[in-house]
Amino acid sequence: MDALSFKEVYKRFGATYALHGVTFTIPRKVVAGLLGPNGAGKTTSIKLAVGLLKRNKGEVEVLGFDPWREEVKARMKIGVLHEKPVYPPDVKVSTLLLHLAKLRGSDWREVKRVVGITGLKEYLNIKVKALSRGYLQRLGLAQALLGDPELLLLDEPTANLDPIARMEILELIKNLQKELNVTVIISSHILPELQRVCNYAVFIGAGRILDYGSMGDLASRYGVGAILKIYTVNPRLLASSLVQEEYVEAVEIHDSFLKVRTRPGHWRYVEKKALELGAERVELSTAKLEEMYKAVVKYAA
Amino acid sequence: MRPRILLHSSYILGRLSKELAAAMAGLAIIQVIFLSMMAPRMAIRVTLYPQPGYVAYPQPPPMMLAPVLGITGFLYAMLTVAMGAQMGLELERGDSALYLSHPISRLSYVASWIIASIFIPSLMFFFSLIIPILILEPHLLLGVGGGEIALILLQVSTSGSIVLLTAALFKKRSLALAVGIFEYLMAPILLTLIAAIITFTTHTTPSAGNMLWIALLYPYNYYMMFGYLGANWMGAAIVNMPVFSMLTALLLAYTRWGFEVK
Amino acid sequence: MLREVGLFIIVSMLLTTLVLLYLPTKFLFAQETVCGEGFTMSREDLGITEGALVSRNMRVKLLLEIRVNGFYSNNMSDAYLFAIPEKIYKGSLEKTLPYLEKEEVLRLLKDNAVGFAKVRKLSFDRLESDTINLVLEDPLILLLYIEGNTTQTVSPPSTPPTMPVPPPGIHYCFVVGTKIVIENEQLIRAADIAVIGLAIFIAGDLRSEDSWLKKLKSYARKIKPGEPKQE
Repeated sequence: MDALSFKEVYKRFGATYALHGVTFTIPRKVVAGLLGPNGAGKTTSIKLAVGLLKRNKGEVEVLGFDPWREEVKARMKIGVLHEKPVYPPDVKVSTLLLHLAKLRGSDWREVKRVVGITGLKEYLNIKVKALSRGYLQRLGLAQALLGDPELLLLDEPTANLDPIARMEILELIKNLQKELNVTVIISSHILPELQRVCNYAVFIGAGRILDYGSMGDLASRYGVGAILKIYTVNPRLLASSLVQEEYVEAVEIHDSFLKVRTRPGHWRYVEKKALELGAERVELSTAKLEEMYKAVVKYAA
Repeated sequence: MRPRILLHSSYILGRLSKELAAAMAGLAIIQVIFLSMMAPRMAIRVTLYPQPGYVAYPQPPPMMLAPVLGITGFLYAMLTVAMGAQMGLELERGDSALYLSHPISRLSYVASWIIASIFIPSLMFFFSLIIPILILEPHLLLGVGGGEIALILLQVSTSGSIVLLTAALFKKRSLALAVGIFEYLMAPILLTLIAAIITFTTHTTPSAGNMLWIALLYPYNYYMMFGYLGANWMGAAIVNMPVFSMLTALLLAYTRWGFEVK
Repeated sequence: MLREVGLFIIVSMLLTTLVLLYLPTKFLFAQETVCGEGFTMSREDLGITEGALVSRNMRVKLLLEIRVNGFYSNNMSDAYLFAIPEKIYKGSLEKTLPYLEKEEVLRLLKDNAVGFAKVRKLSFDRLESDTINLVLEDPLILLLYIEGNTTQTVSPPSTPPTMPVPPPGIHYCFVVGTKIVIENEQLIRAADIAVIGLAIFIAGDLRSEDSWLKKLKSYARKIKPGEPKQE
């Protein structure tokens, strides 16, 4: 069962179609980027996935539930951070989080856990209106993490943040995936940011899906360069062999692994070569999102 | 786990508890001042000793609570309208998306607003009226116009459901507030005018029966206006109750099938 | 939500009690008037109108008066307003009075009344009583007793000549002023309601994670003078 699947989904606002026969799936345990320019239909897709909007046609399934008809069951398993979220200004952080925790059948312990993760412990007794933008975004993450959700939907989590707060939030998201092992779907139009965290991508433009798949598959499909993380007992030795390969652009040596940048379309070859040369394990770290996005848009056009 | 409707309505009330306590204090003070002024009149009943040959002069119907209900009923209505419009504010500003991203159904969300904006103000109004009576003299309860109280509760609840329906449909606080104020304050005046024009142009004498349509939305006003013509409170309540139930059902049905949060 | 309901009850009870303790001392008496005409008993030596029945919803102070403005008779020698408990009047008095002499009637009425007042003639057809001041415990019957020949009424003065001839008999209005009495009974009821409100408030508050009482407790702990610091 996929974490999220859309099948021929249409969503109309008045006469304008925000989504036009959208079909895609996102498997579990990935960090997926929902990528597209402003107005592409990213936020609409997320709101449909949460059950805040009703589709005009098609099927939406979140962890096996229809989010419109089985809203409570679906929302029990998902945590959402909306784009430009609004919080009641005169409520204390603790009161708000406790109420949301109670809706999930949890209590104070859960609030303490999420404020521990998001670094809001010192701000529990402060009113929401007194929080800075960065801390409001942390509050957004904290409320999304309540109840230990299986799927996190983050809509433009770094929008309107200063560079430092943006870095902090991205780092937080990265750690979350590692520590909590949840499926994360991040919608954004800032590609370099997602480059650091995503291993799955859904490209959307003008209410239509351009393509979707794992970074590796997409990189192969569109001939885009990739970065491989190659684990080996002797990184230095392997690096000296790989650097001579013609498809390898650059090699970065770490204690127990190498980071290898490959030429567009050839990461499979480099992966095979590394295994032959005695590598223990090879992971596709990231493909170059910007290149991939350009290729996808070009192909779709 | 407590039902989510109760959890969320408690949360709404908790956020507004200071304002509600102030409103309650205002209502209670006005009710008790009026009641203690009127209690002496309600304390006794003076009738002619029933002997054959005595002529008892007709007395007006005992609408003892009319003055107090006129003032506190208005405050109660405005409290209900303001609370209902608060849901419009949540929907307009976007707070509702936050709550509805957690496991509370749309139906429970709106139902908790029904509790917070219709049920709780009604309870406050009822308490502010009944507690002074209970302290003064519980027997007075029998003499007090139970019908009048029931009618004003129904009338304000009907207004409350109209405000909530407007808030849910248009997601605008100002519109919900305007509709509520128009519906409770302006529309009755217009209706009275229409009733007068109808009576005048058709050369009919107004009677409690042919003016019963006013009770569809305004059972209390109808009873106050046509009580002297023999309007009975039960009839007004029976006419209004289906309207109130229908409006509430419409609100819940819309919430279940078409209520979207942007 | 229980907490808020409890709070509403307590606020309402407190304000009610405060207002009730203060206002009744300032208020004027509220008035009820009931009018009628004719005598119940009309004889050559006396006449009685069994005027009004004052039944009780609560204990109140009463001011009782009668105003007569349609008694065209020059035969009145004495008159009284009586307030007699309904039970006594209905039990025996009512049936006995027609068979008694006027002195006996007056004595019996005086003996059984919880209050009575003299009625004075103000002008040709107008009478008015002094005020009876009492606390209403049981339902009362108000009676106007007139000594004199009440079987005949005289014609009103002929000027102006167009004035209609008045009806024979009597036209009267009983005026009953009331004022509530605040006693221990009311305070006990207020205390009962306070206990109920407080119980609901505490039950609701303790169930709440954001308990005001718990906060108050921890605040009290904080401001409590601490133990001497160890060096």
